[in-house]
Amino acid sequence: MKINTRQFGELSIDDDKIINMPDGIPGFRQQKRYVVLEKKETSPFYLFQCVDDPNLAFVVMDPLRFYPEYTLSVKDFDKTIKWEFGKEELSCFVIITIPKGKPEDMTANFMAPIVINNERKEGMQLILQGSPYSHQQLLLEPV
Amino acid sequence: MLILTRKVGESIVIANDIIVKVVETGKNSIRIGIDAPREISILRQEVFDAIQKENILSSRKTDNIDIAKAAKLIGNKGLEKKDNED
Repeated sequence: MKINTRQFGELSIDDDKIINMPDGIPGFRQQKRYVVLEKKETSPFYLFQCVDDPNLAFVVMDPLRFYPEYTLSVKDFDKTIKWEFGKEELSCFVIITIPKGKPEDMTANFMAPIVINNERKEGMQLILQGSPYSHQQLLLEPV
Repeated sequence: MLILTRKVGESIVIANDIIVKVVETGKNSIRIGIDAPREISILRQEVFDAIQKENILSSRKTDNIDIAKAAKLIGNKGLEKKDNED
């Protein structure tokens, strides 16, 4: 299908790339369909783009890049989640906040990663309770 | 907002299957126990608020130029760190 994106203009995406977020994410409950977009010039970031709203997109990154020890446990998930942990492949991204005109002050939300079940094409924003990680972790040392 | 008075050990029932019990009271805090169905998400409000606020902040139409600059700044940062540890 064709989607409109503010950052990358009009794009054609495969329907099977669409990720369903049944509960949306806090702040955006109604937006439930997203796609992960990748562009060379913004690597190592990806764009987590809402399919139904060109203006809604999040810059995301693989948390392992900064914290190789970053792991999620089955216990972090709500018990009603019917995913088959260990059998189904999951992807994990953290949302990056880039203050306007001050990219050096960017932070990452390691406390609430976006977890995607690649087999089910289903995702959620997991809130890690009692996590040692911050939701506003600076990625670069302050100058 | 509905305001009720409860003693330690007393509870309230919400929608038939959520029970909130006052477990202990202290000087400036109370401990509460919650019995709820598994599908009910329970979070400290400040945690939920912080995540929601951060989501809204990060969704603010980030400039392509800022993204490209940030990507450049990151460069091999995380990866370098990993190499140094070896």
